[in-house]
Amino acid sequence: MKGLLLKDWYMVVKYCKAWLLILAVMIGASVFGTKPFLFLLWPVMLAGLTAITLLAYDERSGWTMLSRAMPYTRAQLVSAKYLVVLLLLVVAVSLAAAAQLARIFMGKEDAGSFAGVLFLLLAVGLLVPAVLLPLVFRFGVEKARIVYFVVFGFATGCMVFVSTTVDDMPQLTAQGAPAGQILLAAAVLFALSWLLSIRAYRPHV
Amino acid sequence: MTNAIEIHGLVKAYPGFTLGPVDLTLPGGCILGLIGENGAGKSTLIRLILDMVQRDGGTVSVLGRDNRDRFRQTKEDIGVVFDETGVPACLSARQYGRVLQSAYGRWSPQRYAALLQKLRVPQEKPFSTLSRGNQMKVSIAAALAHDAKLLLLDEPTSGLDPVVREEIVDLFSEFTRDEDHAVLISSHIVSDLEKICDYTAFLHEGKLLLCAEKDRLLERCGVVHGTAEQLSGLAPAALLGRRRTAYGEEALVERRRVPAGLKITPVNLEDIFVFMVRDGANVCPEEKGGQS
Amino acid sequence: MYIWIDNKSGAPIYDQIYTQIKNQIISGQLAPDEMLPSIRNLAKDLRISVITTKRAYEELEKEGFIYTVAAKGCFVAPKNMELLREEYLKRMESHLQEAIALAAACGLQEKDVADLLHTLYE
Repeated sequence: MKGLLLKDWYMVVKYCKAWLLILAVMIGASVFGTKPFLFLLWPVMLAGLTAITLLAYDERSGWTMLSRAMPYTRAQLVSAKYLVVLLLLVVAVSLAAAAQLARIFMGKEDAGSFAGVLFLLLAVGLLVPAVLLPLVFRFGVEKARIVYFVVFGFATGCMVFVSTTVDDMPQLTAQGAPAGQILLAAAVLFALSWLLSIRAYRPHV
Repeated sequence: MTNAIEIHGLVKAYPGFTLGPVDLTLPGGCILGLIGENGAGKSTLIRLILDMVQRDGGTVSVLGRDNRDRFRQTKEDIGVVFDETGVPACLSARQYGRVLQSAYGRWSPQRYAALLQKLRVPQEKPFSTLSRGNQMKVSIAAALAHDAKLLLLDEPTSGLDPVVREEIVDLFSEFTRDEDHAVLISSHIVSDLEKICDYTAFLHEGKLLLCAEKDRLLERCGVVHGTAEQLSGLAPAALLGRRRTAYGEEALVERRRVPAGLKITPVNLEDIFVFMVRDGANVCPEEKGGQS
Repeated sequence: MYIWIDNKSGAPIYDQIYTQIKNQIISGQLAPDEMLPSIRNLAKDLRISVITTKRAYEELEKEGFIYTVAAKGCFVAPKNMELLREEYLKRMESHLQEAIALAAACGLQEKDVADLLHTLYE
């Protein structure tokens, strides 16, 4: 699987520079802006969608087909993408943590909400690919694209709704417990999604 | 020696198209050329051999093992080249080599680099910027760099100029200098396969029309030109197929059944294929022990 | 060893190889006990099918022109006078047939052909 990850790494470096840019901008904005959660949510969601972008490139170049003729198991082919998602999330959440620390240091935020915010970010970051990846692995990028847009639109809508109505983000995130439970649920869903993808994987020839 | 590929009664049904039943054997150490028009089912057949598509019936065994039995291990011994090369667009040839190094147990970076050098392929440029010919060369170098015993090639020369095609066909020929190595090439460019194949198989609309030793087939058959009356005078057993031309008729014949003295033009695989597909010629594979 | 395959002639390829090797053995270009290229190498060098070179070699062995040593290869058989005589007789026969056909074409008789033969021998 090392080769698969290496290949995805090369591709991320080439194709996902935009993501890093968004991440940087959003992080910056979150440090100095008023609705930090919203800003941080964007790059985290995109981390999951990046995996799908990579799968789209794989299909287009014919790699999806070729990899099935190579001595890889379905588990390896699927797991590589899930690992990529996790790695990108680690990057995004780490930077978000840094941004939060900056805010706390600058007095804009109180320390109690630190864990909560990060847990929620991670949860969302895990949920998006958990829902989408099994669909993509089963039906292919093209067919799953419709669902992709629906989910993306829905999520963006939720974000806008939440950010305009619930001004009191800290309240939600202050209680570390609910946020922690949400994260746990998201992690379980992510793991289930991983297993489901392996079982459902149909390379589209 | 085990057969490299053994297929019996293979069937795959799609809405509107059925492949098979196909019976095909590729003996070890040989090259089989699979000829067929676009859409005949060549790619489907190769995918069925690789178990990339689920078969509806029949058996397929590769390198002595059923292709559902520990096939992942068998894949270490198979080199594959598809028409859509499958190399990610942003990777250079060298990077691709590094990716494949951990995929195959017997990958040799030296062998890979040496092949790329011999074929004059730029190793650092992104794949998408390479010409089609160079892209195919990378694909082929990759297929040859992990000590494969069987090469499966789906249209490896399409879209390439004659010089590159010759270079590539040479590679396959060299590959089979070792008697443990076998090759199955599918193509609709018949002339590429003509020289180096040991066996030739014709696939048309999902049906295997013929699978025979190529040289024997070409020895057996010939083309006779004449008027309709002259051709009608030939024994029915001699006449394999017949067509009208602008100034007479021509017939695909079985040489030894044609009376001596009649001028018989040598035939090539493409002639036979077109006679069979377009003019309904009926050419059976020769029985063993038939007159040579 | 020199071999040239004519793809356009219509003559079976295995026959062309068989004939050319045979002639070189008879003429002495290929010495007795000289090793011949392996079936596979010959096929690959000539860009033809292995099945065909195998057939040519099998034919040569059957006719006694070469012999095989297991795991070593194929070698030119020592000159067999019987074989040679047989081969040359065959050729003479075909040449003579031609001469007879030519004679018939211009009305000459058997006696005329025999006379010509005597004259040549003197």
